[in-house]
Amino acid sequence: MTSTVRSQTSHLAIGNQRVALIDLLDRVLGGGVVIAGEITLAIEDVDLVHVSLRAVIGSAGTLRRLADG
Amino acid sequence: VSEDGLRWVYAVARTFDEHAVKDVRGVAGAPARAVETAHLVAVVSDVDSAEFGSDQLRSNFEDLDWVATVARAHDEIVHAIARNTAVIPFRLGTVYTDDERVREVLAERASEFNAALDFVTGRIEWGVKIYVRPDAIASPAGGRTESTKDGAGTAYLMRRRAQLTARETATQDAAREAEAAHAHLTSIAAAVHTYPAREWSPGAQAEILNAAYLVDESRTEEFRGAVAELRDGCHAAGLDLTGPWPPYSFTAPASAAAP
Repeated sequence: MTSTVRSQTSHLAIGNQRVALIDLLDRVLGGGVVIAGEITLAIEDVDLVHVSLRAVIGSAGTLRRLADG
Repeated sequence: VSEDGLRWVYAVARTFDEHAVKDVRGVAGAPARAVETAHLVAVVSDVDSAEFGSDQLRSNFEDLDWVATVARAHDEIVHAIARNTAVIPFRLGTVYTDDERVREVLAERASEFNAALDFVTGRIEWGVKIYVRPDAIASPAGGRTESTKDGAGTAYLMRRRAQLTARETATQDAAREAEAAHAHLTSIAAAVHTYPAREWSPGAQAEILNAAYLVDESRTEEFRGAVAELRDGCHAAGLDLTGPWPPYSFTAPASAAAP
């Protein structure tokens, strides 16, 4: 397994620096494994958060900041 | 390790190399470390219950700057681990009371994690966003008439109509191109996940598609080449490629197989 993944190193190193916040939030809030009932923050809360976050992001002020982020 | 601290979980993997994360700080500044069972490793770091306890976590999640900082720290650790081994990233905000609880989850979900790890091993996630190109809207194919004979009002209405038609045409063309592009990229990928397309985006273009593709490492160049070709070939749709990503969008084989 290690050998197959090793060649990703340069890709991942480069990719990490270019990560835009908006694409990152899609993944860390909308992706990732979800373990129900055993997390401190309930899943429904995260989804609600995501919704409110989208609303916040949608305002013009933060839009520019996110584009730069 | 403080007794009343909590454990923030970044990811599950089969191996953990502490050198991979030695230069990276965790979400609360504490170093990432392993919580192990016989065959699986959870990468965690200690966080303070005053900031990451249930109530605090909920209110902190309403603060975009806090979320942004934590998201970046979380991602840096996940990326660092992914350099050496296959990982299953955890959703942001997965917190346990102690190491023992983390071990219990690893044991309870062992077969699920193993299946997910098998599925993503040797594969890389790429993001592709497709949007209507602003220049496709701004330059209608019909050209413009500068005649002033019809009077200013009529000229304005004609221009306005041409603009609306151009926008509509560009949007339809872009949607058609996006559909074809998605079909082609899907044929190269091992799995696909689509996120909701936004009506706005950082470049102010409306997104048509916001997709993640899990691609065999051996087909990386083919996939990237296809994105470049599609970008050149589309006249109304624009394509943005992001990645490589750890497999955030493909943490379970079952969900990854869904359309």
